[in-house]
Amino acid sequence: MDKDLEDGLLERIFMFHAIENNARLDGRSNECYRSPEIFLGINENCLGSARCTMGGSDVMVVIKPDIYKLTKEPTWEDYIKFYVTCSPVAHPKYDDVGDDNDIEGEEVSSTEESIMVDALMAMFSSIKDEMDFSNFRISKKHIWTFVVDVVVHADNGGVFDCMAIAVRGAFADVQVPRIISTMIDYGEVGLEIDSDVTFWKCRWDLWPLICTTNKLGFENLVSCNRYEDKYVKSLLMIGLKHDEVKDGDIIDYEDMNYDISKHIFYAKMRKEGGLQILSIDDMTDLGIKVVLKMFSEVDKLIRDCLEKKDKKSNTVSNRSITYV
Amino acid sequence: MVTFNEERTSYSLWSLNLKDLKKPQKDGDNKIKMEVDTDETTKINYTFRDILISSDILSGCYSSGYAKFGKTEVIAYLDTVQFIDDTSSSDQKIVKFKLDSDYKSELIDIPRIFYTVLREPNRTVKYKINITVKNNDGGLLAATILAVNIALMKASIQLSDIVIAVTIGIIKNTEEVVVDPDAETLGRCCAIINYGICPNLNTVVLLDQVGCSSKYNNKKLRDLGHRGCMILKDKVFKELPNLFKSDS
Repeated sequence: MDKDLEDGLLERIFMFHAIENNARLDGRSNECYRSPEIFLGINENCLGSARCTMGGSDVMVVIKPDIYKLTKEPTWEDYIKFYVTCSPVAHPKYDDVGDDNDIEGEEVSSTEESIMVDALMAMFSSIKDEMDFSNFRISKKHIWTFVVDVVVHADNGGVFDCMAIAVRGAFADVQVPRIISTMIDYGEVGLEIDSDVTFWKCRWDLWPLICTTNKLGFENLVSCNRYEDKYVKSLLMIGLKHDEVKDGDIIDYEDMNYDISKHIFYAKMRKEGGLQILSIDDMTDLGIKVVLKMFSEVDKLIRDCLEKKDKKSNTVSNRSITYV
Repeated sequence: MVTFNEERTSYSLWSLNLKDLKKPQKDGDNKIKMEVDTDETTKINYTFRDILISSDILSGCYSSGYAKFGKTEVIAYLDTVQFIDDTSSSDQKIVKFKLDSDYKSELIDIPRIFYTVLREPNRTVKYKINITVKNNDGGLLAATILAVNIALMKASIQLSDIVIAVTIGIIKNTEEVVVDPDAETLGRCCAIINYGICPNLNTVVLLDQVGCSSKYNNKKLRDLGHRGCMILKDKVFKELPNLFKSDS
């Protein structure tokens, strides 16, 4: 077989010609992202859960609040802990754990999980000043700790975008019972739940979103799928903070009169290619533009899911399932 | 009609933006304020900690590099090379990196960065680079990149360009810019950026920003990183030929 054909040269040339004319292989333009779908309350064994699918990528976030007894004053890192698992069936590159291999290399899944945890910690550290931790503290020694489990079920590109949307949705879904602390003998603290159970919620509109911009040839593409990801030279992930976008509000990046790029809290380059400085400027501007559109769409979807939840309708069973 | 004569966010040499070309701003009489004209109080001090670079500090290995930034010490050394047959796959890397297990999450970008600049003309020789962190006092990524550079150059492995990285932090509440902060200063920062370039190819290979600042936006932070890399490049290139002189 020809070596050039083995490397996929012809399909690479075909793809580059397609994106130069602003036409991708799945019919999108270069700046068009795949619309996300958000499901809240998919796991009844925990107090908050969300699932986000975005063109084949599937990320599930589960929040399990737990009560911890501390011996020192809690800091902001004690309230939320993040754990990320990349499923081996999500992508063939994650199926490398425990391989009996002579080559001592880095596991792709553990690398990806570590970078995802760092991104989640960056998201949390950027909003910790606006967050209200008074509900998290039960007594002087007891606090609520949110254990946030992120599971990547399918990786078809744009997993970090999916993860940020799912985390935002999961914090919209979480409901924590209010704990009453009472004093018992010898200074011990007893924790009780009132017979009339009340719940408290977190502010979900603080959580930011992440947009991945890919460099392919001379073009900047948003939300590449797995097929396009093979030929991506380098990619830049931009995380942006924004408030909740109400219905009817359309955010136009060109008409903004303040510097929105001061709210970029996360920027990271991936893959084994260098980028020109002008490319980073263009990719950053494109990432901001797309993230603002995603905020409008994601917040509308979350409000729709919350309304459905109030009406006690099961959103998972509303989907049509086709059996072969 | 209200016209906003807004000041540009950056006056660096590298802040040419294509949006400025599409919408040209008419600055007829107004003089553009240059960065060298700023006040002394707001001028950024590009002062690095004491930098010590060395090589051939370990015996019994193929080559080694050592970098010390203040109290941060990193050793990068190559094991004896292995010869592999020609039937190996072309996707397999000939250079493997073994990171220090305690600092793996901080050094996770090291293999990706050097795969950008590594060339592989000889695919029958396989190298393995071990990275050992002696002490970490902030700026670990910049020191490690410098140590790996020296180890690869002493091993005569062909590189497209040298990689220069710098860490810049913005102090919370005072918005002071600190170039090459130590670990105690990093704890007080509200925005930290790790920026790495190939200075001759003029490409960016490392961009890692965590946190945001109310005074500097994302572009300004990248400009600060780029300028810091250029200043560090001049310091390193002054000392680098001494490592390759023969002792006589």
